[in-house]
Amino acid sequence: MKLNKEARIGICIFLLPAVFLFAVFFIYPVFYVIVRSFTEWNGITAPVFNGIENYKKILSDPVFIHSLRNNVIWAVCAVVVQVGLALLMAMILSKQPRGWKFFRTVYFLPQVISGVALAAMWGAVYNSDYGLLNGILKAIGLGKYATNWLGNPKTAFPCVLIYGLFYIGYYMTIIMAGIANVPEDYYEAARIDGASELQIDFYITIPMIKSSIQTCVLLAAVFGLRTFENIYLLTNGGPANKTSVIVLYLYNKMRNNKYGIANASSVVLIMLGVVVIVAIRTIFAHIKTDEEN
Amino acid sequence: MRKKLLAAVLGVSMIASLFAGCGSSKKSTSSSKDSSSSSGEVDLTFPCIWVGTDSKAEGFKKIVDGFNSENEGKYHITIKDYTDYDAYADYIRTSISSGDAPDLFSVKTKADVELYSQSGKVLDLTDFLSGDDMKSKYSNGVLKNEQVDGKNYALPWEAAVIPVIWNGSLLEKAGITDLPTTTDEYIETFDKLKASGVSTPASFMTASNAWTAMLWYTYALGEKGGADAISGKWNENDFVDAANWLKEVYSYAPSDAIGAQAKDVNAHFFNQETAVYTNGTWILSNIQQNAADGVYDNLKFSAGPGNTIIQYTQAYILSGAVKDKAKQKAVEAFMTYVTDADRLTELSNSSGSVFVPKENTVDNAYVSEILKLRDSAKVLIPSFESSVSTTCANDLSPQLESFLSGSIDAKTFVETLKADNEE
Repeated sequence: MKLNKEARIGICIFLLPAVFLFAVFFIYPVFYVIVRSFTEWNGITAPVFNGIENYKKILSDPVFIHSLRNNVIWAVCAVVVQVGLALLMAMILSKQPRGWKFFRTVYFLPQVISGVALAAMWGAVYNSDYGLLNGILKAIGLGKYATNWLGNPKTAFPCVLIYGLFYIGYYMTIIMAGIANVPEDYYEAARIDGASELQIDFYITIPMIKSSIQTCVLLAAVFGLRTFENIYLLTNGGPANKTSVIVLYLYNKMRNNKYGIANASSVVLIMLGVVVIVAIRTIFAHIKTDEEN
Repeated sequence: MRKKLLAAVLGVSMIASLFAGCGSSKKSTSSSKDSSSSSGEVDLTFPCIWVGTDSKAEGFKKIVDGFNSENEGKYHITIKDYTDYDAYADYIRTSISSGDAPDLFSVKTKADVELYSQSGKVLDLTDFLSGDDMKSKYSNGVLKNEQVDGKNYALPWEAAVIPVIWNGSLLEKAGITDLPTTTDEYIETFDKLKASGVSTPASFMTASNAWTAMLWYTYALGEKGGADAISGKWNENDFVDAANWLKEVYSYAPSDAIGAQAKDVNAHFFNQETAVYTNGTWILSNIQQNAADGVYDNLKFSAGPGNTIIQYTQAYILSGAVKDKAKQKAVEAFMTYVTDADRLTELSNSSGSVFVPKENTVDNAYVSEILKLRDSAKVLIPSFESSVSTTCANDLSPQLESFLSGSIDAKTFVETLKADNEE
């Protein structure tokens, strides 16, 4: 359909706010960050161009490398564990067993609770002095395993990871919405053909909700890469930077008035995010459902 | 035509609506006014952290209200509340960076004063502070010590005077009558307290700015290297010895010491789980209000090892009114008002805080006792945090945690901090 001039002007007017905001709040900041990543800048005086010095510094900084590693672990665990559990729970609850509405609400409830409150609660769970976890261990005779969970470099990151991955309600809701859109006819036909419930799950439900799963995987990976508040609130990267992630690393660099280095780590994070998004989209594009074949 | 007009109006409305709510909605404790109203009153905006639950909030509000009332029609201070210290520091940095420094604001360290003075957006107070009136309010040499490249950009206002604070009841129970005076005696005292049933006598935290641990480290450095131990050339052996003593103190601390925040340390001391604590005079009102019965009434104070007391300027007031002469006069009037000895004494009595300008005699018996300890101390040393670069101060917590958990030794700990400080 060919649009006349008036229609094109109308479209432009309606697109203008979104384009303007995208340019002002995304394109310009990203461009600014990239330019500033090649400078030495304390945020107050004029920036001084220093080439790729900031990139050299962060790539030789063990704290940055450790933060990057933590981010990758977080993203992988989010995709495998969090989305995996969400898929499992969504498939169970979609069969509408007794009390399914209650459990759906319970699983989603943490999404509407303040992250600060959740962090305080988990901090209390892990506290070495009065924490629930050590209390349980002592009660069942395993007191020798009680430790300062968030203060011990060996246990701190797994503890933070468990806290971060514990809440599956968001992804579960997306997948349940996907399952609700699968036509009932497919299930009826499969049952007439004698398919078991497990076969129905694997050969009908999962392929039909591929796009919902892709959305969850994408979101989980991206959230994993840019995770900040969970760690900031619970450990602030400690002990000894063992729970640090890239966003926290760059935040700390800003606190030290090293904006050039902070911007360089932002650029690395943006590039990593682009790679992950492209990789996930490519992988899912290659997974063809029967219908697509 | 009407449809096109409607489409255009809708488009413009959408754009406008997207910006609705983008304006500042920061809560002000005083009605906002233009910087210079039609009546000629000069309005100064003061984003301020001495609000909310801060121990100085009530007293400081009284000072500002008094100033506004005495200068009605001439000057007016509008306070903007900031209750989160980190958010406040971010706001100040961003404001100055974007060329919009507030008329009045405060910073915590001389490193911040040095940084912001480089911007050219902070008012030079040298002439004002060298006047007889202001000069007479400070002890000799104080204003000169606070200069950056020979100029005063900040009014040194609140002082930190930090003694060692003991739970007198627990000391009595352990049969301790004489408080320790050296690092070795501190360890002996901890042993006695432990033997009396206080299993974790020493308060200790490593999270955030590692406040309590940082103060213990400062005392040990004061004993070993004197007043210039941190601000002068670092003697690595002293720093390593002090670090090893710090690790010993840690062995007497509660199990959550690594990763503990200020609230955890306070809770342990307030609930008598620890017997010794170190913090500034401002904590006294908090102990009085929140500690277990009898704790506040039985507090004892001492200098740290080597008869060391930590003292430094912990709040400076600066001005961003560099181009407006009328505002500069108002800033000077406020700075004169807020450094008045009587007003500071009143504020000190209500908050427990002490100040860099000279005060009159403080009523609070504990604060007076602490000031006497300061006056008789052999070493007056600024805290580690206030004496080193921002990078070094911020890196203390993770390096300390690495050291205490055995990932690095004392020498590496010190060398890393030294490199941070020299960066």
